[in-house]
Formats: sequence, structure tokens, C-alpha cells
Amino acid sequence: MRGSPLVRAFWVWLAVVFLGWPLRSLTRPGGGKVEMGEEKAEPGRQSASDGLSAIRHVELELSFSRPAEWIEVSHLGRTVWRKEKPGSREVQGLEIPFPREGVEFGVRVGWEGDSVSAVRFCLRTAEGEEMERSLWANGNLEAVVSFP
Amino acid sequence: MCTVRRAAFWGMLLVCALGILPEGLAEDRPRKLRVSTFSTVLTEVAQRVGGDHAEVSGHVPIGVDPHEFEPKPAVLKVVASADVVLLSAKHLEGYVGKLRQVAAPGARFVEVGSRIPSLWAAGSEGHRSKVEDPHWWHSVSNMQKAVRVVMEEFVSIQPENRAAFESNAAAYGRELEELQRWAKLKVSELPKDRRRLVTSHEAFGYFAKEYGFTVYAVEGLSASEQPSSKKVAELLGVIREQRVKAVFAQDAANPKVLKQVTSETGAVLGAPLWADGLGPGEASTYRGMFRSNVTAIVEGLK
Repeated sequence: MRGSPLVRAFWVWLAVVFLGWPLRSLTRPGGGKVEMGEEKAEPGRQSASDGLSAIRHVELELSFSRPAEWIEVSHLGRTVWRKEKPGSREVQGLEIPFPREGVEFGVRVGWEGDSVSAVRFCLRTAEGEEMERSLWANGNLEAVVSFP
Repeated sequence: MCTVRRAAFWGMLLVCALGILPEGLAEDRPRKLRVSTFSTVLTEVAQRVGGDHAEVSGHVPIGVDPHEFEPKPAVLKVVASADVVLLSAKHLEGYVGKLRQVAAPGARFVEVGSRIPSLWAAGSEGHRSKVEDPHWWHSVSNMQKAVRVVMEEFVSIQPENRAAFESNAAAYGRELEELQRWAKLKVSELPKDRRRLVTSHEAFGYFAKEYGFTVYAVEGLSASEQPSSKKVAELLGVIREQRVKAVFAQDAANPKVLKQVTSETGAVLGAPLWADGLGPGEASTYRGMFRSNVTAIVEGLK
């Protein structure tokens, strides 16, 4: 490379700036793909309750070891899903506030008789994350399922 | 004359027999288990597990701070005749040495809290060491363990009443299971990012662990510890940063500092919490006390 050391240093600095800028924008937090629990909420899409946690679309899948009579799922004290005579596998999409600490659902399931039954919960986020929980009961079930 | 004498003789004999008979019957009846307790919560546990077979003396009255309680001579007299003494332990009863001195040689001292895994809190300012948190009863799971501990002790002292003690403990255990289910559903009404509990004294560590809260306390483990201005300033920062909606005073505490906190942050003062045992009215049972606390916290922070 020709020129004075000062000119050479300038060319090196220019190269670093050109290469470094896209690298920085790709690697800084929030610059690329949105991370789980750190989603930037769209205006008007925040939780009505606190303005901190964004509303996210999730899918809740329930699978039963034997046919249930009814199911009821509540979120933050409100019933968000109720179904009579559900199939052995049911899926429901939900729009809920999803803080980074996670979410909980109140679950009630009615079965006929008192024999042992199980229900598997699978929560899928729009980002493709999948979390599973299982609960067992003798007779009806009334419990809280926590994700994560 | 002879007939009169004979009648008098038989009369005297009958009177003596009537006088002796009830005592004789009482000898056949097993004596009740004499239980002394030093916590309002353990008084309930002993009464529920012991049922008709236990005579329970609760020495710490409702509304008295157990951290400050000191047994009077009348209490020591009752302890002297106790078969079993139930203690919360985890250093809550600093006077346990006095109790051991006056207790009968065969008396059983049951440190219920020692059978429950401990949580540790930071010591008061100036002390680096950690302090064992004695408020284990704010977790229903811990209460279930306590019921088992008390039942096993009662059975080992009076094995003849095993069936009654086991049945009583099972019935009480079912109530606690129901309470736990209710509490978890009630707490689930609160978003996880709102589970920040600001209280006057650090008594809710076990509660926080069980239901996913973070506790910020003005005072330390004992309500008598006074907060420094630095600690209050830190607390104000947390409340503003985390947007905490309500702060909670303890039943017997002076909420002066918390009132200052509310006026500077806009948070409201929630319903008082029962931190150191059972309270009056609806809080006079464990179930009532626990439901009152959970309802106050959830409704206050919603």
C-alpha cells in the first residue's frame, strides 16, 4: 500500500467503519430477531393492565388420556376457553399478555368417574418456542399450569 | 336398733362407693395429652390433630408479636405440667432455655420449624451473616409438613390414640390441600410481572417462593428493626422502576414508613397482612388468615 502512514491509517479506519456498521446492527440487542420475552410491543398492543408486557399470539394444545366431559381454561382470572365434550386433542389460539417472567393458566377439567386421568398441555409461541406440562388427577382436575 | 345400725352401715358403704366410683372410672379413661404451644398457628395444628385427646394451651395470644414475646411465671407453670411443647423454632423462641428448665423430665420439645427446610434472609445492616427466616407457615406446603410432624409426635407419645390422630391429621390435610388449590388459582389472576411484594417486615419469603413473588421489605425479619434512610431510598427506587401498585403493612406494625413510601411513589397502601400468626375475626383460623393475605395481595397488585 502506498502513501504516508497517516493515509494508510485512514483507509484502515474507513474499512473498519464500513464492515463494522452492518455487524453492529446485526449483533446488538433488538437489532435482529426479537428475543423471547423482550418483544417490542406495537403501539396499542400492550397489555391493558400495566403497559409493560406485550400481547402475543400463543397456541395452547391439550391432549387427554381419556375423553373429558368439559374443559375450562382461564387466564388472569378470566375464562378464555371453554369446551364441552372435547376431542382427545384440542388446540386453541390465544392473544394474551406475555411478560418475560412467563404465563399461568387456571385449568379445570371434568371427567366421568374417579379413575386416574392425565392431561398434557403444550404452549407454542409465534416464535416457535414450545413448552410442555402434564397433570394427573383422580376425578376432576382444578389446577394452575405455569409456563415456563 | 340392730336394723337401724345395719341400715346406717349399708348407707355409709353406698356413699363411699359413690364417692370412689367416678375416680375409679376416671383411672380407666386415658389422660388427655397436655400440649403447650408458642405460636397461634401451632395452637390450631395441635387442636386439629389432637382433637378430643389433647388439652392444648396456646401461650402467645393473638395480636402479640412472637418476636417480642416473653413467657410469664403463669405460663411456665403450665409448661411444667405439659407432655409436649410445640415451638415454631428457627430462632423465633429465644426463651426456649427457660421452658426446658421448668419442663417435666419426660416432656417432649418439638421444634416443628426445624423439620422444614429454611430460607435465609440478609442480616440487619452492619451484619453480613444470613439470618434464618422463621415465618415458615406462610407456605401451605410447609403447613402440611408441620401437620405430619405434630401427628407423628402425638402418636409416639400416645400410640393408643393413633387412629384418631391420623384421621384428624388427614382431615386437616385435605382442608390445606383445598386451600393450596384456591391460593394457586387466586394468585394466577395476577400477571407474573406484577408479583412484587413490598411489605413492612420481611415475613413473606416462604410465601414468595411458593407463589413466584419477589419480596422487598422495609424492615428485617423482626418488626422491631428500623429501616435506614438508604434502605427506604432503595425501596422507593424499586417501586417506581417496577411500577408496583400497592405496598402492604403488617397487622401490628406502624405503617408510618409505608405511608411515606406511598405518598412519594403513588402506590397505594393495601389491606394489612397477618405476618406473625393468626389474627382476630376472619383471620382467627389458619385458612382465614391465609385467604385474607392472598386476597389482599392479589387484589392490591392487580
